[in-house]
Amino acid sequence: MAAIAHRERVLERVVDEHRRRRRHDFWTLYLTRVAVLVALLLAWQLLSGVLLDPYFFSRPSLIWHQLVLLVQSGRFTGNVLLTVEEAFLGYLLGTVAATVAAAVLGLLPRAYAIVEPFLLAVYSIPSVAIGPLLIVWLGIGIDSKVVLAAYFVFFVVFMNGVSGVRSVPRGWIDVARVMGAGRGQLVTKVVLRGAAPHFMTGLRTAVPQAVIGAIVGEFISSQRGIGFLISDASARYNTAGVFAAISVLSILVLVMAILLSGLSRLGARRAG
Amino acid sequence: MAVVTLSRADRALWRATEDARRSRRNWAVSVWLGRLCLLAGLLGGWELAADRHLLDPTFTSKPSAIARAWWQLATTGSLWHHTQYTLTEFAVGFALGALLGVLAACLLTLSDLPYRVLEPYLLALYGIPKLALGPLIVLWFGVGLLPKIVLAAMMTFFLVYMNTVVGIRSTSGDMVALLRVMGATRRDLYRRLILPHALPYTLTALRLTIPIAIVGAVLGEFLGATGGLGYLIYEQVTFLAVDKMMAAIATLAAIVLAFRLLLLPLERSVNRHHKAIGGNG
Repeated sequence: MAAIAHRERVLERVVDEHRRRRRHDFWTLYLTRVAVLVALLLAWQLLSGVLLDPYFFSRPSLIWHQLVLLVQSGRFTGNVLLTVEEAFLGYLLGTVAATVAAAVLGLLPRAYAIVEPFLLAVYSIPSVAIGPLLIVWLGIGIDSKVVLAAYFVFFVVFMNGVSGVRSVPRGWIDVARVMGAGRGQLVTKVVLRGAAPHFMTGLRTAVPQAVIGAIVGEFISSQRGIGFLISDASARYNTAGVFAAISVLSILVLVMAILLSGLSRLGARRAG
Repeated sequence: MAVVTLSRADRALWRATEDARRSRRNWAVSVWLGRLCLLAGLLGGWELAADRHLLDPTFTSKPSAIARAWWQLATTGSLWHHTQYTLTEFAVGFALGALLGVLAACLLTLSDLPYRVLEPYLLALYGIPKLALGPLIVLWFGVGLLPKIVLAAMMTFFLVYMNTVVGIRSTSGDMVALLRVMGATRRDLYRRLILPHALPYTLTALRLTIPIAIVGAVLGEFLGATGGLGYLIYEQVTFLAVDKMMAAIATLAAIVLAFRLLLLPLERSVNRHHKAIGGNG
């Protein structure tokens, strides 16, 4: 008895020690990273005007000033919200279209074999290249950006979805069929559920794609949005403004990524 | 008697294989017929709809007009002129990005600390939508070939870097230990084991980055250029010359397709070799 208690105590101490060391490691790593970031920003600020031409590289204080100006002038919220709206609508359109297409084509192997070369041909079109065409078709308003964002999203979700539907084990389908599942049940309860992990991957990777699609659409032609802020500042040779708008975009993408990982963790917990 | 049963089994077997062969042939025939019908239906339907003014040919053009526009661009030499621009930007940027990606992956995996410190920064840089940096790149490098090369290289770099790191890190520890015991230096390790092991991962990344490297080049051309297929497309917006835009887009797609098909046999032969050194991909 005593021996066991002793062993447990030793084990506990070892685990504790290990945990403490890991926490320690984590903090060292974390602090090193923050230190590198601060050092980079400081070096940028101090070297600007000495080694770095501020005309090309600006400096952190100027960028911060531009950000403050952006918010104070009231141009911040409207432009950010417009880009978010374009990306969101494009994401919705692209994912719905891709999910339907993947489910239908994944379930009909012959149809998939028939359209495969066409898909490959369309997939080979550089996504950006259809931007001007969309401007001609839909004008320079929000519609052309929504469709471009949807086009950026479509193939990511579609490819993952098709591979998901095809990865459902033949055995599951046979078992469900033997147990009397109808065609509808087979699709909703077996195939789509089995394909869900692949779909989720596609849905997750497609989020930044939607934002990029919206931004690129704004580059090609627009009067508002974060992409417009970037290209407008660039056209005025306002380097600090370009950096400020790009950092707004980066933060937006980061926030979306954090929200998304939270959501998918929640979804995984509910599913598991 | 035994002879009779054997031949009966033979006949059944022969019939079964014949059936399988026939159904496979039927499948192939129906698929090819389907593809032909779909192609003819799409092109014919588009052409007819444009002729009957169900689709406005000003906006959607039609296949015959696009073919004519392509032929006209090709015979006047301007198609080749613009294609040369885009191909140069793509080829140089792609090669540069791939080279730097492999180099960075090798350097950062040499030891643990720089990898652990620098990795989050590379990931953060990766997280920044690179296409969004287009205007900044134009501001820095002007409107010549350089900004497009930089954009194409940036699009290529990260995926090649990340895939190569995964390839390097997945090298079997036993193999490394074994070679070390046998007296291999770090250089030997990289040359004989680690890099050959990572090669298929790198090649996959290369195949995946071909279209996005061209996307980088084309976006650069939209943002300011004097030539290139992207420039050709962008220029036509003002003239509403949809036929020329479509002809240029089709040329871009053909370039992407050609490069992907070129890389495929290389990837296949490397994968075959890869299995021989204990890889699984």
